Amino acid sequence: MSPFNKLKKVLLFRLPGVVLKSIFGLCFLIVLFSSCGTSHRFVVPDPPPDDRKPVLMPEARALNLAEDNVEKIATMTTQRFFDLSRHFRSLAGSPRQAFNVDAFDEVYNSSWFINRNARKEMSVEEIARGPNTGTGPDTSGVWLIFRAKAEGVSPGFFIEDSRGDKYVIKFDPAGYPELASGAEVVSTKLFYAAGYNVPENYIAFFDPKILQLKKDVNFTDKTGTKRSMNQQDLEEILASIPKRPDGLIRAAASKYLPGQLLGGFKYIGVREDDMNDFIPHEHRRDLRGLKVIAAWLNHYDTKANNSLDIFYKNQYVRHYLIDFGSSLGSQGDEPMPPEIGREGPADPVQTLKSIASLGIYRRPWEKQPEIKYLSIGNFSAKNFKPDKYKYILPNPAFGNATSLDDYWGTKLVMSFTDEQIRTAVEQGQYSDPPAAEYLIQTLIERRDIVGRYWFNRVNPLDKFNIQKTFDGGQELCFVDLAVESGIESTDISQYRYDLRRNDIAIQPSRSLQNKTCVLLPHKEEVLKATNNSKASANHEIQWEVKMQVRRESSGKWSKWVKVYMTWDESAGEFDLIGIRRQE
Amino acid sequence: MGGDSQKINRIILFVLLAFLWSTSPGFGQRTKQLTKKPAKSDSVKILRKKYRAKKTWEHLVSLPGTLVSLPLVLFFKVNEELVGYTYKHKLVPRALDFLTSDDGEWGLRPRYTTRSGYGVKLFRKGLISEQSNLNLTLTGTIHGRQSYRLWFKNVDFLNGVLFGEGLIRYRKLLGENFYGIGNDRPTSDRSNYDHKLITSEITLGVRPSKAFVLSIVAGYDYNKILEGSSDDSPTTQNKFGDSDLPGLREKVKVFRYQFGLHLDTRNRPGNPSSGNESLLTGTLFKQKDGDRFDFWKISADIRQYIHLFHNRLLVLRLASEITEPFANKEIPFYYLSTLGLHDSIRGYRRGRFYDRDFLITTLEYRIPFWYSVDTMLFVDVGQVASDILHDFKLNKFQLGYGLGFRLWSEEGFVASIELGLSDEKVRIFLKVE
Repeated sequence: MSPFNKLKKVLLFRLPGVVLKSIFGLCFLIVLFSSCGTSHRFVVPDPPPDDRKPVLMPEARALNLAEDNVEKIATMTTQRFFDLSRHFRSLAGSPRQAFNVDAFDEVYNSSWFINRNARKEMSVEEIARGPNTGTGPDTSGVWLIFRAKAEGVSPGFFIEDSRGDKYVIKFDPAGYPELASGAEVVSTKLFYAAGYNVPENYIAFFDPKILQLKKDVNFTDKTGTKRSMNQQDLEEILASIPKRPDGLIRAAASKYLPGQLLGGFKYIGVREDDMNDFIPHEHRRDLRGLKVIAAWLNHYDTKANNSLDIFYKNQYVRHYLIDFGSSLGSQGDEPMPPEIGREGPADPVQTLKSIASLGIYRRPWEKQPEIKYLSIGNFSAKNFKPDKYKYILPNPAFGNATSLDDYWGTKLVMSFTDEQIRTAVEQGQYSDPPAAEYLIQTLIERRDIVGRYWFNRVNPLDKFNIQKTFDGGQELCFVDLAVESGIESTDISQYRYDLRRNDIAIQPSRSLQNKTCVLLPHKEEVLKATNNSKASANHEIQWEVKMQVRRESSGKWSKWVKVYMTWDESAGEFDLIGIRRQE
Repeated sequence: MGGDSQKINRIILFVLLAFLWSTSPGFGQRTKQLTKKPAKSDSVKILRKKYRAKKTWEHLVSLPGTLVSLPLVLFFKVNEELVGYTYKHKLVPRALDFLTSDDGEWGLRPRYTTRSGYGVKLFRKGLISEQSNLNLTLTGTIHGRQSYRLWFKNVDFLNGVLFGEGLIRYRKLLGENFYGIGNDRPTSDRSNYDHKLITSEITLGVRPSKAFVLSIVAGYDYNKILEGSSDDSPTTQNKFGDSDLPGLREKVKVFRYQFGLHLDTRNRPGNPSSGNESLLTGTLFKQKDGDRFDFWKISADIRQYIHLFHNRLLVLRLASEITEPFANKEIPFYYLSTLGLHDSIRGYRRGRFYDRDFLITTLEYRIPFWYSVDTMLFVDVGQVASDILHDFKLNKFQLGYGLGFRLWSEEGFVASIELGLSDEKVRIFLKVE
């Protein structure tokens, strides 16, 4: 008898029937209660502790790429497949929501993420500056090579400039000038403005003569032999790097991050020896929502090795995203292959379709247009489906993302104006204006595809605030993000709302005509209602405005968003306490 | 009975709890943390509770799934560790580094061939000319198959316009199949023989252009046929006499003189999408110590690569071989044309069909599977005949078909796994070029 059959026999026949029935009964009840027992009252979540408090420095670690690959592709995928609680939650429409969100479903500033453009629109100067604190490496003096870059797909050096600043220098692949360096810098600006920690990445033009070798630079040559790098090796590498007509070399210069390097972070679990790292990474909103912005920027290589933890100012661990050479249309050493992002490794469904149809079925990536600009590579908005975007490895945080995480990520993407995108692309210093324009238009198109997709699936009413009316009353105002970002118009948008007090409707559903503010009850009505309220003394009275939107194109009312308020007696006005959005 | 059941249940519960504990996030790191010394004595220590990724009820509900997936997960965990260890300690590059000289010119590599088994290859690059490669390959199997080869190849002169090669090889092939001569010998006629073969040859060639090579080869073969050592079938000596099978009970030494044309217009060696590859050879065989075996052989092999659409590729192959004795002479049976190899009809045993001539055509359809990996579907049809020009019959074709995967690089590296089927057998081929 096979081991599997033995196990099956033990499970089904050796365990007493009562035990089996009890287990399944318990499961059923748990699922039932977990999905049905949700309170209608809004509970303001406790904010998580600030994770930027001084702590002991955790141990540096090197993530094992091969181990990580097997874990993500085989072990984790199997565990998730057999994780019944996850499937039950999914069936019950109650997936596990992110832990680090506030009452308004926004992310707290932390060592992982700082609210930037989506919270307050950044100026074009701020976008252009990004994370930069200086002007990049000093090209007027000598660059001392102290290490050769062996990791990654493209050649590179670690240099120290005449100011003593250290940089990683990465080059463009032969035949594709500006490809990797442009992608590195443009993506850096956009990820930074979105709120993530990223290194200072610069475009540098330098004369190869300023490169000097430090003594005993470790190097692995073509034959795989490890030895000290010599001048001939340097010249051979430089000979393979494209040069401009003026003899200068263009490169991406990534400044050393300030602090002790601790290795990459994983998208699952916590770093046990980091006292500030208390939220499992797969349940972080900022990592789950990264899925959307990464898809927008074609940053498919979101594995743990492209992240870095830094012990910042000897105080706390700061978490960075690094290495954007494989984003937009670049894969670092070549243009992004068209299948990247559109199909995972050995996608069984696509493969089966292709083989079963004897190759007549064309996979979506096979319909991609040819590369238009060598400096941009393979990047287009055609057939871009944000929900179907495929990353290099199964990512536990992305796998846990709910539509609310996707909506949050979409808000980050949609926060970028055309002008901001243009500014970010300008930092890539593309020498061919039509190529730069193509990149700008593609980013704008992809941004709008992201917005159109997720704003149609989650109620996009946001930025709620209470304003005073001219007669001393109050109104609840909101912004329709789909309209604000220009993918929908007010003419075809209709809103309706219900006002409830302690879950009891106090007026029939009403529509808003060409308005984005809901008139709230006057003080007298509130006091009257408060006196008549049978609410328990333990609970203060909550007011709830449930809002929906309908577009002419779909004709259906959207999912709801509920806005919760309390009445502040001393001030005689409503206070916003939070929102709840339908999943 | 009841006691046993309880014991099993307790074991399951224990394994399950141990598994849940071991697979919880951060397992293994916790121990490290306890023994870790603080990096800075003046750091502020904050005791903060880590959030739990799952609630208790979620663990309980997942219990049956966890139990079912346990063997699979444990298997993957072990693999994770193995792969991780290999990667972390750079076992493969370190082994290659260990097996290669500092200047990269000398080295030792493991080797595997379907025919000769496992072994090693010792190489020395850059002797006489930069591209030259002198290698000594020693392979064998536990059943006694052996192959030793000393091959000095790619010795270029005049900037690569002229080249030379030299080869000395000893082969002991055990349990070679022989079913008889002809296209319709039943499988029940299978017999086997052992073949000792010593070969030496010198090649001189000229490359008038990058795509075109002319070569002449002078060689010497020493053949000895022994009783078959395989227990799967009777020995060939028991089934056939020397008059039926020339060369069966005789040591045969022959000189070979070959003229070859090789045309290669493929656009890239590893994954061609257009062009063709043609090889035409004519060989004269002359017995050294006797006048029984004098014969000649002409073979042609043409492969055309046709790009259909979106990297779908059709590979058409037509190959033929004609072996003829001179007047009143004979051909040793092991020099006859053979079908049933990897490069002929996949799905049949090696040496399934023997006769003087053969004709084979192959249709291979390649569909991209993933980046640098293709799926292929193929059909091989072919027949042997004593005179293919006269005895060729459409209803005598032998059919093989199958599918496979090939991993390629544009520079020419190809690794493939192929599953060949026929109405007689299923064969798996592993190939690295």
